[in-house]
Amino acid sequence: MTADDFDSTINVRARKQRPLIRRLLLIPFVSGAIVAAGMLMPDATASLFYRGALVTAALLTAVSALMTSAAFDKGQKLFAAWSALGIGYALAAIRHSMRLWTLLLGGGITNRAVLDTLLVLQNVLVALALWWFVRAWQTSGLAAPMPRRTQLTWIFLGIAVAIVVGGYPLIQGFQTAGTDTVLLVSTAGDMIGIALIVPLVMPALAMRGGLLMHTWLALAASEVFWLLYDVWVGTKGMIGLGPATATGVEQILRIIAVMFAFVATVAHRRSRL
Amino acid sequence: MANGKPPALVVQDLLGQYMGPFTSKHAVQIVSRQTLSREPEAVTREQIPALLEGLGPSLRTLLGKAAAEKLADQIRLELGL
Repeated sequence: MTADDFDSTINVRARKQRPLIRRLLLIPFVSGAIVAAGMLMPDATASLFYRGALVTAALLTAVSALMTSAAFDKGQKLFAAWSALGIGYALAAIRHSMRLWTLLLGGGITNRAVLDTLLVLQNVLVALALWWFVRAWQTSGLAAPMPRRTQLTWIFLGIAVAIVVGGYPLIQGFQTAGTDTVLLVSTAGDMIGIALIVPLVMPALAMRGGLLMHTWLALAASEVFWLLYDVWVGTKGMIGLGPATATGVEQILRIIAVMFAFVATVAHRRSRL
Repeated sequence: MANGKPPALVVQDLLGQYMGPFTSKHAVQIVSRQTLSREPEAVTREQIPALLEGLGPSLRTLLGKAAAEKLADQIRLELGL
């Protein structure tokens, strides 16, 4: 009698969870479709709508990430990773809430130093979180041995993509650092995330067919959409679309990126007994 | 209890639901060889707890302590241990 014959509880549960987890992957695209409605709104309304969507997405991701971290002991890499991701997105939610408050009521916290500090912390924490996800897999003892040359090739490929995609906006950011810290810090954080796409995809590939695959896959997908967001921000001026459409696409890509991080948090919880 | 398949391969199949068949095969193989000095096919039913013990750190890393212990308990239950 094999494991399949007696249809173990584990098999039954996995069969039940698999389609649910797969359906989670639709959430980012549904969110993007909802945000697309902003393109049909007057500019002022659209700004509120986009900002509100970001606050909601960031808050959902923060809460979910912290819930996921609770399953791990302090000192474990995935505790640190999920906690950092949760706090990072909580800071994002706070920052965007401040901006939303200002848009709605005209006052609130507008101090540039406060907002930029939140931005820097957010980017550092999310980048750290992704690094810890990669390290958790590498130190789990499950990573199949790979020739060092192959490993390095993939890593350098990821870094090269990050430099190509992020290089131009990063240079722009340095040149306008006094007035555009957002671009500089955001790009630097995104570049680290982009460089980690390949190291995040590798555990997903190694665990293909397993429930845990979806967590690393969703994290990698989140970074792919941050990559697309950076490419869009860097090139939208050259494409010649109207400002409402260009902004709309930018916001769609951003929401999809955030919601893939949310999906990763939920997928991990659903993968556990 | 599964008696048509070597018990370590049953463990491999069950773990595969979480970490995929490629990684579970690699994990069971490594622990069987390092901890029990034998190939997975030769691991006896009595050695399964030791196999699960060897897999513990990896499972705890990916699933967390409580979930990893629950999974190991469930596997032991499925194998009648």
